[in-house]
Amino acid sequence: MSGRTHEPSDELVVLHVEDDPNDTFFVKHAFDKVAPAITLRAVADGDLATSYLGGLPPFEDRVNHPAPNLVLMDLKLPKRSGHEVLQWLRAQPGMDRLPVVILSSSTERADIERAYALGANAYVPKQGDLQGLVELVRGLVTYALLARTR
Amino acid sequence: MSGTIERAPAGAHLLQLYEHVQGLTAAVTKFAGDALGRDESVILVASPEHGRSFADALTGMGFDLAALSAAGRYALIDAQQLLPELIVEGMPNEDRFEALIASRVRAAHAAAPSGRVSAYGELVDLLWQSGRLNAALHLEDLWRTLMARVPMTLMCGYGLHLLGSDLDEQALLRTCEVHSHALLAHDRTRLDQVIDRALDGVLGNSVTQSLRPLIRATLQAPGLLGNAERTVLWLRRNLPHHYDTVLSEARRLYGENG
Repeated sequence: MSGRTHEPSDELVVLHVEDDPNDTFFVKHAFDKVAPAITLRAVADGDLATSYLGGLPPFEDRVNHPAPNLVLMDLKLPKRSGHEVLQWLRAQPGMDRLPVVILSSSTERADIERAYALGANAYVPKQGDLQGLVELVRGLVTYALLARTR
Repeated sequence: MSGTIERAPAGAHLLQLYEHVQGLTAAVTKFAGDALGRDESVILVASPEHGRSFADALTGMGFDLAALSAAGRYALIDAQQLLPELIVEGMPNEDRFEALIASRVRAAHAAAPSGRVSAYGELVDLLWQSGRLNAALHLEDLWRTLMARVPMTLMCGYGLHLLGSDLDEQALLRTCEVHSHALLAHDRTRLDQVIDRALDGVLGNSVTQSLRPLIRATLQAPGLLGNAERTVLWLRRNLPHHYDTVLSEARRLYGENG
């Protein structure tokens, strides 16, 4: 299924899966403010997410598309939903411990329960203000660093 | 999330978490006392120790339990004696539930001037504490079926040692899922402070300051638990290699403060 195995990266790499360009912009802004040295990669649909995670074309070059240490993902995505990506990801060898944080506007109990059942590490509602987003991203970076140092 | 509530919402299926009998007694007797004050009938299904504590507290509040019992408005049932009679092949039996519990709830309902019943039960806790989670959840289903037929509010007592080394996260979350509200009879402020201090001590203040917004923002399904419970469960899921150290430190701090 996958082209390249998931290899841990020396640098911190975050994959942001989000189809709303506004949300992508603001998340990038928050990461630039909190941790400009980290590598943030963004894809806009579920199929691109699985291709990136699996090291499949067009992401087979792991130098330019390094494997992530943290996935930040919306649920409502084109082509393949966040739930489906999560289900696929947890079935891949070596990806059962990759931290995945769902960042979604849905607070429906069914969505939350399903995300955790499929292996999400955390489920966080999208932040309505930039300061809240910056604080959240700071926490995500700290979490990703701590989770990496096992 | 507070350990006591001003008034249990009518028809609620309450999860009452407790660590010590004192906290549980305060919560249950407020629940029962308020119900009796509203002309409801009250049924308490409790261990002998807890039952004695509840009865003493209710009497101290001025309730004539003998008179209420004679009027069919109050019953204290021994949960430890009842549970074996309820179980068939390892699971609560629907027919026995009807005969041993539902029939008494219906009788209490008939005796209540308000036409409502408030019931407290520990049968599920006895099953949970002995590792029979599926049996506990099945019993919760039987209670829910009864609640759909009789106007009643139900409080289920579950002993929870949040800082214990044997905390079963999945059991706790599955139990939360079948309840409408969770109430916490611990010392909330102290528990929150202890967890925060333990995190600071183990991870460092700057790290925990960074993590707190993420932990606080994380939604649990269902979202019934307090800050301390959510923090502990978050750590267990996401930083398991730090979890034991933080909890060990929290236990030390909790015990240190007496």
